[in-house]
Amino acid sequence: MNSDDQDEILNKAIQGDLEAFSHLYEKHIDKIYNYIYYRIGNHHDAEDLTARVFHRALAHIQSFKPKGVPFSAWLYRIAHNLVANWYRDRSRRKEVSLEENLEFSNQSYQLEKYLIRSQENELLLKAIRSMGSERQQLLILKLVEGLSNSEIGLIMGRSEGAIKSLYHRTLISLRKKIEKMKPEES
Amino acid sequence: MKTTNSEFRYFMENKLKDVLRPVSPNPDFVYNLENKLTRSSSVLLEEQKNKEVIVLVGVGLFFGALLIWLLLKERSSNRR
Repeated sequence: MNSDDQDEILNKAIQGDLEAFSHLYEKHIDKIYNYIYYRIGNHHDAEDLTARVFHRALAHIQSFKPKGVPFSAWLYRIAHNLVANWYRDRSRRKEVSLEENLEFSNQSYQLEKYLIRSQENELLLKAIRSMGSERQQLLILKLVEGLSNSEIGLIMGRSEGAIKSLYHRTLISLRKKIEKMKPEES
Repeated sequence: MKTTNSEFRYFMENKLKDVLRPVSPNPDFVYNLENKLTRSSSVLLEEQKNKEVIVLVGVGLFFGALLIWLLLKERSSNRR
């Protein structure tokens, strides 16, 4: 499908064509689900929030401006806001960090299920979980979703250069965290 | 031994890609959600109802709190 076809589908969806929206849904569902899953750490809530993202997108697609940010960036922003709300609501009920959430979630839902269970990987996961939400977001968009710095910049509302710099700082920070953790683990 | 920046970056990116592997959503969930979305009119009405309920509860709580505050203020001024 070329970019003209995609534009046509998007325009039809904006005009309320549900079949066109269905095409957009099929194209983006996996990416949005992955993003949410890695931000919150369990499949149950990831399904709930993914559903909310697409319901919200459908409800507001008429206000989407095709000349502005790409549709995918718009969806990621919705997902980002819903994840932030999810953490805010959880913290009102009980203070639970991402790390705790992943640790206490049902085993079958845990991130570790999808990993090679090496000690190094576990250490790396621990380090990722201890980072701020913005850095986690960046790592997911870059490494799980495979987005470019400019695409990530559109989603996070930053310049390409700022994303490049943040990514560099994030990797350095990860190295430091891992180096600090290693003596504790041994 | 210290590695260079590019070696370190290459190593970290490979490790991170290994840890952060893409996951697939449950196909039943994907199918059911698509069906719900394409029957959107009922879903949107439901969302609208939820919003109204939240607004009503919010307004009720606000005026309830205001009333309690006024009563407490009135009582304290009567004591003086």
